[in-house]
Amino acid sequence: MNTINFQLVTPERTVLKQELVSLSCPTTLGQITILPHHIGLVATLVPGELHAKTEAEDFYIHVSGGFVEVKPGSEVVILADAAEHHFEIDITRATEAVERAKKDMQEKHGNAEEYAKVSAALERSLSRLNVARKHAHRKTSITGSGVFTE
Amino acid sequence: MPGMIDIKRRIKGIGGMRKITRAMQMVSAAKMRKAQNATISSRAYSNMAWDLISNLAKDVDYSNPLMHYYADAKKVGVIVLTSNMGLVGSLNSNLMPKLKEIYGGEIISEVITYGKHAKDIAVKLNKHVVADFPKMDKIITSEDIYPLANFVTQAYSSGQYKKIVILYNHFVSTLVQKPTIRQLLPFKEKITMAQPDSDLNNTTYEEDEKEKVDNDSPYIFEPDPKEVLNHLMPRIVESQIYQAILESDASEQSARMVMMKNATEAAGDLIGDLTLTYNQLRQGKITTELSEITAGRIALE
Repeated sequence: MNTINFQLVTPERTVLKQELVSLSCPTTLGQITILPHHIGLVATLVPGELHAKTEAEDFYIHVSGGFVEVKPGSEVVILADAAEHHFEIDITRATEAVERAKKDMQEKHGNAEEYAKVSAALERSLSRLNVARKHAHRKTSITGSGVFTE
Repeated sequence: MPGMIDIKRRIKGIGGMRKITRAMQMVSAAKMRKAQNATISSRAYSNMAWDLISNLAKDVDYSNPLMHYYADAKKVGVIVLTSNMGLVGSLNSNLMPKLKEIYGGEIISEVITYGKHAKDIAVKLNKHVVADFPKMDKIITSEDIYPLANFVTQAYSSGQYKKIVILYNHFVSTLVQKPTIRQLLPFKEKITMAQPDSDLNNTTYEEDEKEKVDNDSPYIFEPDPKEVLNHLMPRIVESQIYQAILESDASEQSARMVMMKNATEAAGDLIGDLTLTYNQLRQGKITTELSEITAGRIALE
């Protein structure tokens, strides 16, 4: 089979479980695309957009860090800290989160550790908003078999 | 008759209690469903995280402080997870014999408590409590356990602990909760005593791997092994603790639901019994009165 057996899980739930044709995800060294029969790989993820492609549909998912593990034999597992489908992100609330993070950034620049935390939060919320905006025009009624909802 | 009044009062009292236990049963049933769902949906993550580290364990260098095995250390850290509130039957006290098991030889065990009852257990068994983390009465998110996870990783990195284990009630089903000890750190030793099902997966997986990949490590690390491990290790500890907390939560709610159900049923039985006694007494009284009246009439004739 020329597909990837893919699972995206967060501590709270399984976000996607699908057979994929290709998978693009943001790692510390940049965006990578994994095709079937990829060699074993473990990489850390950075906040950004994950594009999972099946033969029929496309999934755009925001991940806010985590790990990707490619097992030999076309099996890919992503352990994400948090992940949301683009249609799950509420743009107004995401915008508010960005504003809040920006404000925190201005207030808490004294302490290095806190600053690192706040800037990471800003990065996360910005990329989240970007993903939501970029795909806002898409139909939000994807109910593929792989989509898990609570 | 005073006996009858007493019985009537008791029936009323038990009825009131039954109302309360029934309400508590409903509440915990709702909470139980939530907790069970959360537990089951997060099992995937913690199992996969566990698989990942087991796969990697043979290739990694042990430069990461969490990968070390501190053979000279004399202490064992025990994280005890309990409920905050009572009315859960023997759920919390079942953990005590398990905790005693850890105690042996020269090893000193120190306790990190989570949940109000954990402290009682530690005091009863004369254990030294090094830290106490408050338990929140809601479904926690993975962020809520950062302080606990941080404390654990730092304590272990300091080299004072031989191992860190976690003691909790594993959620098997609504009726069955199993007191469980799980070793969190070090990873290497834990790998040999991993659960049977994940062991199975690993071995079959390793076999395929040998056929396909001939070089030493089947994995490329990006950016490099050290960096990845530094990120990964604390995450794994977190996910294991998080999962244990969820399991313990689900166990607590299930145990409480079952206890309250039993209490409601027991109250029903008791009311039935008392009502029967009451009716017998009442009937007896009526019979006595009737025979008195009849006797009086006969005397007059």
